Amino acid sequence: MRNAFVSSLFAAFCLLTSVADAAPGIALEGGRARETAPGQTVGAGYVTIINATATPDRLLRVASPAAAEVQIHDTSMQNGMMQMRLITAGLSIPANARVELKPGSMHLMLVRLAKPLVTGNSFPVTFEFERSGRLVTQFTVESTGSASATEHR
Amino acid sequence: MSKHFSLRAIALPLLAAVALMSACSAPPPPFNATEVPGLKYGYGVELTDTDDKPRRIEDFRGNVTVVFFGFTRCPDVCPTTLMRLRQMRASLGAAATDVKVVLISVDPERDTADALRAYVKHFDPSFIGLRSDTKNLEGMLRAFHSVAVRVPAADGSDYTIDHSSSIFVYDRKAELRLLAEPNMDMTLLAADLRRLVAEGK
Repeated sequence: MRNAFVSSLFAAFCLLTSVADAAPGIALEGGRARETAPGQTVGAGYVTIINATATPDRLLRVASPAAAEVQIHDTSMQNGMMQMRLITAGLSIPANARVELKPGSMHLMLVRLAKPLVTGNSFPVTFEFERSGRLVTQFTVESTGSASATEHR
Repeated sequence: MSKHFSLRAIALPLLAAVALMSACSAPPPPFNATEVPGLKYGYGVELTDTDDKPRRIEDFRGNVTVVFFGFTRCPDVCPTTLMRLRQMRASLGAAATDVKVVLISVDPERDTADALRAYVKHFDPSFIGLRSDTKNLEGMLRAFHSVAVRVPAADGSDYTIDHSSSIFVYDRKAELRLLAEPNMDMTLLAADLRRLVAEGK
């Protein structure tokens, strides 16, 4: 009896953890891009990646029909220089963390835009994570006058 | 030691301190940005605006001119700076008329006059884009005591440009007076610009 109780408890525990494993551990919030100037061939996209699980993950790739290529970049201001670097090894997403891609910091660079980004339009962006697999979210194009578009580190 | 002597020993430095304090209260409070003594950065460099008209930094005399470096293929931080400067300039009200915002391209090869015009005017029709001759980028940077370095992409197909981040503010005499960083609180920079505008033409 006692053994049966323990084993069913164990089974329930396994079921619970397997359910947690199967659920997507990562959520994407506030996906947005900046409207582009006429003729501008590159754009910037921002999003918050939320990992509510106790396991770290890694963002490997990002893609969108809006651009030929979507790169993960980091902008930094160091020693009087403004620098922008491509993050090639993927972006590590710690356990129980929010990773914010925001202006003046880490961001997505939309390279060779299919067409100009116009305020109010939206487009899908696919994120591929090492553990959580693929997630698709919609990015909304924001005017370059909006407050969230100027937030600086 | 006599009591008389010790009183004098206290009174004299006290008087000196009072004199110093009144002298210190005379000059205006410091600027929020870093003030430099009227430097002639960029003088003599032939730049062209996006209508292909020749412009020199010293020709902006009469205005308070905000100058920074950037390029149109910079999708994140240059637009952020342009947007913040637009909001800052708009907050100046009537004083904004005498404030010019100038972006000097560090990528004149890819930033054609058309591309640069579309880029800066998208943020504010009053903004001015300037280019140096592609052959004189080095000379232009040297004159502005600034740096721009091409950083090729991993696959060599493309490049980005690291460049000096400072914002230069020239006064009405077209002399460099303030150094600021793009992430500076723009309300503080606006207060500085109001003071420079008030210095008179």
